[in-house]
Amino acid sequence: MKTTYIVREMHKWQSILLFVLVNFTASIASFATDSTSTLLEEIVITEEGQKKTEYSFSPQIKTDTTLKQALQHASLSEYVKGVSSVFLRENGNGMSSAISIRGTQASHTQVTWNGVSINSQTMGQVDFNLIPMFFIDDAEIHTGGNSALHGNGAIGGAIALTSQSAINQPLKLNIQASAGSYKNLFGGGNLRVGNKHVGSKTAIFYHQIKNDFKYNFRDQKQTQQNAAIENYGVLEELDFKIGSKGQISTKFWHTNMHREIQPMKQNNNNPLKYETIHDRTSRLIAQYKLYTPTALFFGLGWLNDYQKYKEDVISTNDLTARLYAEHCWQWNKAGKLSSKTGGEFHYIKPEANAYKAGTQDWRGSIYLHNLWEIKQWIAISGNFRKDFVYQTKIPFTPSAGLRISPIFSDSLSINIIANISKNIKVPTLNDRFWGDIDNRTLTPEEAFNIEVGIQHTLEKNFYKSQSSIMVYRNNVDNWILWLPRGNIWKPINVDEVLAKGAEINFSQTFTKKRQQHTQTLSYSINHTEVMKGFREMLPFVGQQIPLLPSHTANFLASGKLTHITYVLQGSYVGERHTSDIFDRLPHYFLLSIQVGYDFALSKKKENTHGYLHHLNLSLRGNNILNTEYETMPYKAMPGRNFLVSLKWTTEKQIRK
Amino acid sequence: MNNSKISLILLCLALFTLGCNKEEQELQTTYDYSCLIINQGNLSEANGELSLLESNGEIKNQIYQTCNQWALASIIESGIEYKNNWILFCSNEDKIEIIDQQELKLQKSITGIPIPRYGTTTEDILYVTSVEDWTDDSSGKVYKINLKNGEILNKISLGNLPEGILYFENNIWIAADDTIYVLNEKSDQIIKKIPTGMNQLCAKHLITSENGMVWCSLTSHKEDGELILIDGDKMTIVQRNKIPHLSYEGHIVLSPNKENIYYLTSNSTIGAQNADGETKICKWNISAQTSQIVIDGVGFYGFNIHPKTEDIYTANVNGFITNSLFYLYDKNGKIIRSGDLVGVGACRFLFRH
Repeated sequence: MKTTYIVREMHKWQSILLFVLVNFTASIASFATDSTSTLLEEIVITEEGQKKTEYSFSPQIKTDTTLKQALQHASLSEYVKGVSSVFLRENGNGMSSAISIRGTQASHTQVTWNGVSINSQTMGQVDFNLIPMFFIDDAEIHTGGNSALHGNGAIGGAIALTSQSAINQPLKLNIQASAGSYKNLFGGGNLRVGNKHVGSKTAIFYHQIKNDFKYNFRDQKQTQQNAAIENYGVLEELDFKIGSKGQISTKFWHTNMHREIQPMKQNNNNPLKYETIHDRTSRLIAQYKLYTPTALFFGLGWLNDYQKYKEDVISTNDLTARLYAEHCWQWNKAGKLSSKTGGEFHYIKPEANAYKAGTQDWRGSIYLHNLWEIKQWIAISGNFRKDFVYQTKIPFTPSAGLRISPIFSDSLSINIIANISKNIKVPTLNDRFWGDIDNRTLTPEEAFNIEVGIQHTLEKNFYKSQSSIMVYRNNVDNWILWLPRGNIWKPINVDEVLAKGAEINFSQTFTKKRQQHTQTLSYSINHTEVMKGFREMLPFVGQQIPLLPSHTANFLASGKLTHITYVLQGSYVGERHTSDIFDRLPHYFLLSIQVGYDFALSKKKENTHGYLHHLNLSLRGNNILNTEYETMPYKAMPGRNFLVSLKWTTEKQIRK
Repeated sequence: MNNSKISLILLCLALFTLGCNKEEQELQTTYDYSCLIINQGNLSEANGELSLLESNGEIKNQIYQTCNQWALASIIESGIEYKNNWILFCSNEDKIEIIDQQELKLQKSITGIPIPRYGTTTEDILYVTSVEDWTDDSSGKVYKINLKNGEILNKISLGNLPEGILYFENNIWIAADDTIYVLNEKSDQIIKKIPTGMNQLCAKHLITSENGMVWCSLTSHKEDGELILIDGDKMTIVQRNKIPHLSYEGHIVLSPNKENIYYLTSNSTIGAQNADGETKICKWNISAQTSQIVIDGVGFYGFNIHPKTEDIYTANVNGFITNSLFYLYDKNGKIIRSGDLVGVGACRFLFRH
């Protein structure tokens, strides 16, 4: 829950730093605003501060609570596929999962956990199957590049994973056990408890799957071998209220995953081809927030990624410090300027056999975000970031946005939006330090992104709908690819890659007493092509780059009807070329259904401190059309499969 | 019966008819072609395939899948001719496939041989070099296989990683790292180990020339390569020739008139995989002991010489990342055709004898 503070007066000392930094912008704002208007005294700052996304007008896909609850046993990969038309390429069921937003590569999506980047420092990307949904409170997907806002790597988009504070939350205990096809077992529990001063969330889970599903290969039924997964994790988040306006939070995340690497179909029965991989992730962050008229934030973090493949170990320790200040100025009811400025610093120490001994890296950045709501019908945003990386020259990354609302009222708004941004991706540690290669000539990827679109929001009584149509063009210069060069494979900069396309999103929600129904529909069309400087792609001139679909679509219907919950998911992935232009992976459509029933084991009583107990029983059917499909050549995916879940919930009743 | 029911029945009939047509499509096809192009494939996708240069000049791609219902799902390391068949040595799925030359249909698939690299035949016996683990010298073996029934008759450990293999005067010659092994056909015993004499150089390929002589290419990641001449009777090296930038694969081909040995040079010691990598196809004059550049190109990884016309078949493999571009030159290096798209990693070119 977010707490809102009404502040009666400003403290000058807290505003000085921010005021200097945003002076220029504020001057423009003052100039453009009615000169007779005076600074209003009452300024509202939310507990979470201005979210990053509120400094731009790019489309975002909010957390779907029903789907999130339905996928507590699953990974972020399953959730993203369920809620959006974003494409994820998986090397088998539960194997490494790489995202592609708007036709970009996996390292072009920046993923943050409570504001801290969790992209692998060595590879630059996130394996979405390593992130358990059981630990996630909110997952927002932002399509469209904006490095000034989201930082290094946000060329295609960003995903923000955030936790909700347990302060002022009544006790709530969830225990879930699930069992399903292919010896899929999941058990987890989380406890959320808080009072006015302290909040705590604890979560722990264990999951295993044998993955011995059946599939057809060369007219023969095969049983998948060597694809078992075992993972577990623990999460602890503590929030302490410091006075009336301060808060200290600590968050600890530990996950451990052991995976047999699913062999290609043709090697399924050849034990010589069986391999395993082990991933371990530990994260600890501590942060202090002060919610005064100028919100202040300071955070420290330690992130450790460890991966063992065969006898090769690669791990990184990332020590990070973050600081920002944020303030809102309001001149009249319509006009408001929000500004946020800050910086972050990383010290990264990798440990990998392939790196020279003593390899280390320092990175930092400073930024300034501004959102100026000039009138109710017009707003602009301006964001600026400068990154610093040891021994690497990084360009300045600005972004700007415009929102015009020809129609706006309490019930209906129509916005025309435009965003323009320069974005970057710094070469990863592997790009820069792998082997004996000298990569001092490798430059950061630079992208120029422009998007325009129209959005609508309609809210009337029990009905709410939102839609957006966005058209984008993203030119990426110096795209980094590993290619054979001379005696070795090494990363090189490809002169120019163009990704262009369109996205359509629509959602509607009907809310009535004891029932809610939401439907979302999304469709993406994309064309990504190497334009210059990569002769190897000559056969693909005018064609989509390999293994990336031009068309993806998604349908999600979820809701609750008294005690019944349901989820209906459909996703379509279009045909894709492999690296051979004469070879194609066929398109596919997947349909999943989940139905649950909530048994109330105790009745709600007025004016008591009692506990409410619920038992939820749900049945989930994945790929119920039994579609045969692959996202990577010869990596089998399971057909129709089922999962039964039992979830016990105990929550303390709040006295009214 | 209302209209919707009639529509539904018609729709079902239409679908049924379409389904039947598909079943009837299986036709017998024979191919008239001058060259079988082996596209090795991309390692991570195992999309090795075959292309044909037909006698009418057309190129047909994806020919294995077209003729055999399923994709090969492997990396094709190399291929040889055997009677009226082709033998394909495939890694990833680790198999040896025998397809007929006319219809290119699979006749036999032999499994149980880790990473089969190259082979040679004597009547119905196939000898194959195999490497189970590139980091383990002891995994290098030669497999002896009965081609009539696919039975593995023997496997001979070498202690080195073998590459090229040659049947020559009742013996099997094997190029393996710093040694050339001579294996007796009847006893399956190594009767001679010929040290190449250069530790940094690996013996790669073997061919025979006139007068009972054997040529072997030696290549290295770090040094210039060599062409060495071995007396076939005495099994001793009689001549060494430095070949600057000899490609790491070290593929060599004897010209039809047996006067020249063709080879590939590359600035990249792993073999000019990238599209812009400078590569040259050269020939070594055996009697004059001089070399001459025939083709100055880019991105070549493999080549072959037509046994009658002496035309040179090669391709820019585009780093094995995307489709290769096929090139055909005459024996003087004059281009005949260029830039035809074939499969991924086109590097072996086989001719019917």
